[in-house]
Amino acid sequence: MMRLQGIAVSPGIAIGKAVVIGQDIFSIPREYVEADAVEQEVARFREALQVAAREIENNRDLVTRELGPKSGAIFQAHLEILEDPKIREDVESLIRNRQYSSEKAASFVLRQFAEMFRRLPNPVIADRAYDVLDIERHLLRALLGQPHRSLYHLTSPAVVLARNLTPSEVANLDRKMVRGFATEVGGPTSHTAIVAQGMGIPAVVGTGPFLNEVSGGDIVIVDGDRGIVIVRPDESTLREYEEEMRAIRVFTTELEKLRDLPAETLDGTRINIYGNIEFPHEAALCLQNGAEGIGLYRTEFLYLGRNDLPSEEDHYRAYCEVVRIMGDRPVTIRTFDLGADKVPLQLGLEKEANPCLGLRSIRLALRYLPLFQTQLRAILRASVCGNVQIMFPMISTLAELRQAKLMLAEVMEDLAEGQIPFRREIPLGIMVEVPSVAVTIDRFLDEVDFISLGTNDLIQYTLAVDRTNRNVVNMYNATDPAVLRLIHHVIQEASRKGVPVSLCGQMSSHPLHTMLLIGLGLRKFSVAAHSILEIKKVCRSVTVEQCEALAKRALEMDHARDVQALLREQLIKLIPAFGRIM
Amino acid sequence: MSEQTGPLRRRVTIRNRAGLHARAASLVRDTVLKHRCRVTLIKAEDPSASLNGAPRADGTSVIEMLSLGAMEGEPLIIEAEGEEAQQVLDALERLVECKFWEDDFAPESQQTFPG
Repeated sequence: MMRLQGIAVSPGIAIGKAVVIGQDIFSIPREYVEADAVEQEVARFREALQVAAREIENNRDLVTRELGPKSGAIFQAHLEILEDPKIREDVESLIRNRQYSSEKAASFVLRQFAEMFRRLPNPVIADRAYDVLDIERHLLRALLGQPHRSLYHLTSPAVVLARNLTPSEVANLDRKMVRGFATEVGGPTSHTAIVAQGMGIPAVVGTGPFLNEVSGGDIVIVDGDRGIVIVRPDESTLREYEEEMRAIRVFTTELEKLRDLPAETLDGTRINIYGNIEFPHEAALCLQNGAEGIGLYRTEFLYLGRNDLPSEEDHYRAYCEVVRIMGDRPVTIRTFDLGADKVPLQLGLEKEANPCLGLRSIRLALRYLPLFQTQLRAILRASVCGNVQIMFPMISTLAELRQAKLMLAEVMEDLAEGQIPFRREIPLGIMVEVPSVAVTIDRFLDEVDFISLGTNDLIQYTLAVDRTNRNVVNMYNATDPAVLRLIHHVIQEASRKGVPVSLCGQMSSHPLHTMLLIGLGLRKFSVAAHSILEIKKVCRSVTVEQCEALAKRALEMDHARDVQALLREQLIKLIPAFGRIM
Repeated sequence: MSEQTGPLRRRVTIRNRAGLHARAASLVRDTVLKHRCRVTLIKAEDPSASLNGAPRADGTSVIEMLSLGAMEGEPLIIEAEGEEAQQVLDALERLVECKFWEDDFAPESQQTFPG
């Protein structure tokens, strides 16, 4: 038995027979060209660039479709590096001045960059060496006219072991056959890791050299939770892992059976579970997991990573896509929640000393009305395609809410004048994420159709803790007594006035908090797509009475960590399988 | 049209955690391509000193910019020459200052769960 510690990059356990793949060996048939053939060789290189670009584009589109834009962006970056003017310049100069063949020149230039990256102290950039090698392979394949390697045509399930797998190699792995993979090199921020997560394949990278000790067909365990690779495990280790896999499988199957069942407590109280999404394609996953609607559709992605502003059509298309997927289920679109340091440079906003307390979110929208109007128009236009609701983020005063509503009314008039259809009764709600609103929530409830607790900011503002600051992040606690009391107050007031209240912060996506929140009176959760089944599982395993008793005890405690310990103990007692993830 | 002068230089400090990585470098390139001028990034401290021999990267080449390996907290000198040198320096400084729109804006799904 050989046990290696690497870096866990994609969760889950895989056990299977090893398929060891070596480095691609491209034999370069010709290293130099004749002096009078250099221009011809340059032309051949340019042609290969185009072929490789098309190949990468195809990869990008395929991966974006199947794994989402985050994985797709990796290949967009590859395309940009492939088309980098410097690479072209350097390769062509080697062909012209040293009479290198295209293969030799391209390989030389890209390997030189990869080597330079690898030596950099910045790990994020050092990991990019693998991307450059990926691009080198694409180019050499294009030059040599070679197809993909046969790895993609495995005939039986296997665990893939390699010195290195590039992002495109991982993206092209056969998901049905490859149970997991481990590589000798690679870092935690490698793009290979992101693609593996997107595909749901357990993976460990950076184990150090071990391939010489493995033969194809050896049994291998890849533990993508702990970053461990075990080659030729002994009897007891194998049994242990098989047992663990079985337990996970049983739990996963159990969860999957809940897809079409309601989130109903043992004593018959109906809980509603909605999904949070960031990108349109995530709506399908929410639906698949049985979400009753979208409780939070973040729209910031429309603004980020570009130098200009999204058009009304950009907004409209993104909204309609989600509405179409969700049918007549509610889709709650939150207007942009951007900070002054996040909006496109064109607005020329000044730098702020304290962005969290500055011109952000709804404040920014009310300051830059055209930006806001464009989005409101698109949401209203989308409202006739399905069940759209509109939600304003980070409201902190009544005046602000009224001003935003006025804006909405104006945009409605514009649309009506232009005879553009929209739904005038579109439900309107606010995020409750600033303590001032939580404390005076009764005043707001008369002026909105629904509210949604945004705990991420509510915690940050209540406890005065910046959760991105590593020096204080340990004070950021969803279970802090002050936070719990605010949440309790908001839910009670909303229930008293009959206004629907949901909770869409990260807090609701963690099963640890489910009982507590039910006990505090919450009946509508809006959670990340991958958490829906877990939350439903908790709902279906408890009684409201039990949850209320737990909430009562939690509200009497002095410290967040005591509350947390109590919640953990209760949850694991109820559903032991959660012990693994906590 | 402004008078053609020598190159302008400005010193900036990389502020985002990941440093000048691929996405950041590609935003720099996009910004440079929108202006009429040549831009070079130089890894050095003092813009008034002689910068001969300091590592440099063409502002339109992502791969060269990556090769600088610029990390959080490190200074960079941006050199621009041409008609819109002033404008491109302003735009690039802003881009660096706002951390290439990163860090504070990690989508919730990517943040670790602290609770």
